[in-house]
Amino acid sequence: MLAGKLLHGPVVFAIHPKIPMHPHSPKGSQSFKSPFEGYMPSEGCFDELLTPDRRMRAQWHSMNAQLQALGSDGFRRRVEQARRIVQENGITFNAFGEGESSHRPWIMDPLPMLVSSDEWMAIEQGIGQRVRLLNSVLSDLYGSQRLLRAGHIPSRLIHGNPHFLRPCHGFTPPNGVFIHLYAADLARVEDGSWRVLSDRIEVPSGIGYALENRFITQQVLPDLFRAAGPVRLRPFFQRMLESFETLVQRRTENPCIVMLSPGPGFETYFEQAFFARNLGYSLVEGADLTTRDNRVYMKTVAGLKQVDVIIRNVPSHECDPLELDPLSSLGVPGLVQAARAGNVVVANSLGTGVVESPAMPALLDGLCSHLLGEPLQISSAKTWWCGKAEDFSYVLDNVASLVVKPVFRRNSGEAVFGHTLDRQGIERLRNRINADPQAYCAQEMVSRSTLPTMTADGSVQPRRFLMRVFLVANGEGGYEMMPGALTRVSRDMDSHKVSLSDGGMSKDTWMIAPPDMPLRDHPLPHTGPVRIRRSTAELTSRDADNLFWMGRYMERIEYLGRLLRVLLGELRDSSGPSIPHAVIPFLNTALGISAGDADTVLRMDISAAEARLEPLVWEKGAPGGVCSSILCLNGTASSVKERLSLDAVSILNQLARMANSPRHESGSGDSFTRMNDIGILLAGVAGTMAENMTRAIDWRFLDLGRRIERALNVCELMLHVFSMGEHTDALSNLLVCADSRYTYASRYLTNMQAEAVVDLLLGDDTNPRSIAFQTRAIAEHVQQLPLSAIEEPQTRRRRLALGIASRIELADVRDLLQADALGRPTELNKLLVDTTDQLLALSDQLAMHYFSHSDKKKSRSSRSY
Amino acid sequence: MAQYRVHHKTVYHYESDVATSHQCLHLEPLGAPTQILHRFRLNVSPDPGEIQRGRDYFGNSFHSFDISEPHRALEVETRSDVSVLPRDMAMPLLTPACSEAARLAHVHEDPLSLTASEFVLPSPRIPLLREAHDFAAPLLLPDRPVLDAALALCAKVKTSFRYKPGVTDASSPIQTLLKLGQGVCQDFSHFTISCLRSHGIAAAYMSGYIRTNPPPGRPRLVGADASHAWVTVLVPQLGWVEIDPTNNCLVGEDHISVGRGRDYGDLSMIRGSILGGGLQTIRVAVTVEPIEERVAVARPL
Repeated sequence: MLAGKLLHGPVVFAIHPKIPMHPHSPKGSQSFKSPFEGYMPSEGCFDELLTPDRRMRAQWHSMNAQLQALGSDGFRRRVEQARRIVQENGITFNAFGEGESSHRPWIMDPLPMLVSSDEWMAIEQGIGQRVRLLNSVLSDLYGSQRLLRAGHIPSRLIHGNPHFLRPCHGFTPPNGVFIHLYAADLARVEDGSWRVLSDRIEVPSGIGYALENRFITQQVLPDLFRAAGPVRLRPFFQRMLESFETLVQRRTENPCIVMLSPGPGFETYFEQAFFARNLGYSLVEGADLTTRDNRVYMKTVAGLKQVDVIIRNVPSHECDPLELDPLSSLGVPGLVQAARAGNVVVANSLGTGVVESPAMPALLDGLCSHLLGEPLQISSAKTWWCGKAEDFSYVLDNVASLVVKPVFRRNSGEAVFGHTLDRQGIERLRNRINADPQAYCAQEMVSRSTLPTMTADGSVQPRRFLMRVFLVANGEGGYEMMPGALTRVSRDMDSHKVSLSDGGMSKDTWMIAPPDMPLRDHPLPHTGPVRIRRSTAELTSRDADNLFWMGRYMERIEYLGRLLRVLLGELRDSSGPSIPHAVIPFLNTALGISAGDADTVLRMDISAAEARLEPLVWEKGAPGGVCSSILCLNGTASSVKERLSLDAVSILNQLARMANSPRHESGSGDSFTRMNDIGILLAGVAGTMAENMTRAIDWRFLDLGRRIERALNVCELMLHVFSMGEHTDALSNLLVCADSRYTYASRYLTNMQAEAVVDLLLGDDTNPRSIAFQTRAIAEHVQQLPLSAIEEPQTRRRRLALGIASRIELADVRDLLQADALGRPTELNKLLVDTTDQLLALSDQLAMHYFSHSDKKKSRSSRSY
Repeated sequence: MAQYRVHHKTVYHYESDVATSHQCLHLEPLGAPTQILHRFRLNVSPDPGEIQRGRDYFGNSFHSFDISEPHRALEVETRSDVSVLPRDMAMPLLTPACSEAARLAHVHEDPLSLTASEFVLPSPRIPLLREAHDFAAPLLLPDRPVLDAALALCAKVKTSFRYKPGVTDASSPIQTLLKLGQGVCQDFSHFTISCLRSHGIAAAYMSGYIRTNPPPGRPRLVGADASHAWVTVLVPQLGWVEIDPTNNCLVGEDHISVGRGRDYGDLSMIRGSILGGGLQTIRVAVTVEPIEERVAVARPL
């Protein structure tokens, strides 16, 4: 019921809104009040911090001592300071995307939820039993269906369930494990016992967010973290990695495990990227994979690579347009067949969502004693399925105090809290249930325990919460629970909803072991000596494509920035109403007017020219403008985010915010200033990338994009300038646009000569802005990119790249500048035009060989008459 | 017993190169208990290498393959020699009442119960429409023998809608048939099934062929130049009994079954996913020749 709301993605991380300083505390004086002082839980409600007689529970003692030493104000200062650090460092994640609606703050309260280790182990055992039970139910449903035959599970809940995938029936995954990763939302009731409110099996999301919370808490409260000593998460993830590795069926040195994601347009992409980055797996989309002869392959720039395990974040029914939903474009045609053939393991298994139905808990008690011969250790919140006559009448009579849910989540509405409805609403709900009782179930309203939470006014108050726990299969038929969780609290005391989009907050969750109690023994696994590697995961074709275009867009924006600054400056400084001669080629370039079409610009006066340039600076919709390029840059960057450093991501986010904000909201509203700001941010991205990316193949694609774009831009500028008969006025601006003015001045002072300018911008391979510098780097990159298995070394793309570079290097400046009758250097222009054409051809060649994946799949079927 | 040779050829032409193609075929005729499949040949061009054969959830055989070399045309051709066995002809008036058929799904002891409970549910392409329920209500009376009522439903469907190829397509929902008043066998069958299921009677979708030329003196059946679709009803004690709403008849030895499923989606004869290709055209040719002429048993009603 909450997932839809909870994990709305693109999320901006922020520590909780500003916490005011205590008004009466004089500066420098110390206060030793604990932030918990004055904390008052309500009567009759279980509280996590205090017992009913107001004594602090043991697991909080050490934390309390730390907080006391820090003092109430000290703690607030810490939180405030942390908030500032977070803001300054721009710890934001996934604010990519267009429009402000995609920026959703992930508000986090640094005060964690604490659970004692003995309680934690009891939960682990109880939930572990539940997952084993659900796994055996799945094994029956996708096998002999004895439970259906005997009526233990009503047929309607399975055969009518869109998550029951018939093509997956009749095959058993390795070791009979259907569920590899599982999540559940738990709440604690008055008597202190826990209840399961919902199971997350189809796509158990949230683990990435839990990890994020841990990282932030650790950073913000390092002393508390050390003193309170929560159990570390790292060993759990290590075992998760091993657990996934046991799924590899092939005998291979180098197994390939990938994480399948629906892509950056989907709400949980952020955490998938984060999760994948932490596990070191490639994050792929359906289009990155292909099947041949019942095997799944990843399309990489070095050819196809067989995939052994797919960690699935795409809903099962969308995973294979051939055998499952033909309309889905997120999947891989032939995946079901490959899984059936045992050549790839999908985790969780395809079709596991069938037991996620909110009606299932109504059956679990019975199923547990039938299948496992023992009672369910941790109960579900009491559940009624309206397809059963007595449940149906109970629900109708008690709608007002229940939570009503559709039985199948796909294409059905959200949970309805009966107590929030008025009389008419209740009546409407009754009618809906009456019309199709089998489609509804109801859950009791669980009274949830409360937890100390830092509220917006800076005080610590009790709030209700839900705790999402995560379990992973341990490879021996059991499950291990992560010693941490994602805890979400409601906005105010009365609210039962813990929706983060509704003002709720999230917290880190610590498992606290008493100092004298040895923790369960987890020896570090013996993995053998490590093999030294200098390359990381394979580069998929799609990522290569995105990196290449990221490079191109970054360069394009930078270039546009300089061009627009030159133009705006010149127009601002010129005296008359007509456009100065030295500006014309640049105006042509910026407005996309061809060099031969001189009249258009000549007819323009200065204000008309400015009116046409402004949108390029400010308007999102202006084609070829700065904003649209920034949004394109972010589009490509969002798909390769796990390859970028956090700093780069944060600067890219700032750029996107600039591009998205309208002129009246952005400071001075001055175009020149804005272009300067953008230029500085871009230099920041380029700098962090240059300093952080290993010089592996992904760097080559990024840099190739940048070099090709830069070479194209310099060619374009020079062409515009040198197709004018009289070009000397424009040379100085040309140098500025090509960012080579200072180099020039240091060599020739103010002596502006065409030969010297052309040499510096075209042939001088020591100038990182020259065409020669670019083409040489391009040739080197292309030489180093991998060949496919069937290719011979002299590929067309390599010859092409070498040809471009050597032609530029062999050119003689004085020959190039021989003027024709109209004073135009025809040889130079020809060289520039040819180089442009060949660079574009090279770009196409690269796309064809390395990126060819983008064509959309189509599914069709024949028909009968 | 009737023996047939079925030849079914489908050719796709693509406007541009198809880079990879994955196809899943439901083309192999059923074997026991109603038919004997003597021979089945499947030819695919370009050659896909290995073709997988499997059995789906409903017990139908299917084939799948992939082609990863660029191609502009895909040809799928099958030849099947099938004997259609004579059925124990159900006496419609002697079948149990509709109410009893509707109870099947709820009697766990009955061996047909699990099947019944699966096939009374709506399926992806067959919602249980109010219109369908009301359309059939005067016929599917609780006390009326279920097969008699189902055949009366076939007759009403046949007279209420016009058979007309080209107005609907493979993905048309039942609502289109209702709106236009015309459609083809797939639409007729889906609608009839919706009628039966909305009254609690389990019904399934059949895909297959019917003989191209009628025996002397009998009219040519509708839908003979292509693959065909009809309906099968779960009758207590008897099991599945097939009826053909498009031809308004009880199915006898003129129909060659290829598969049984919840609706068209479970059985589409060629289902594929391709990368590239641009626009495509499809040509389908089906011939069903009796190998040994004898009097067929289809009874127009």
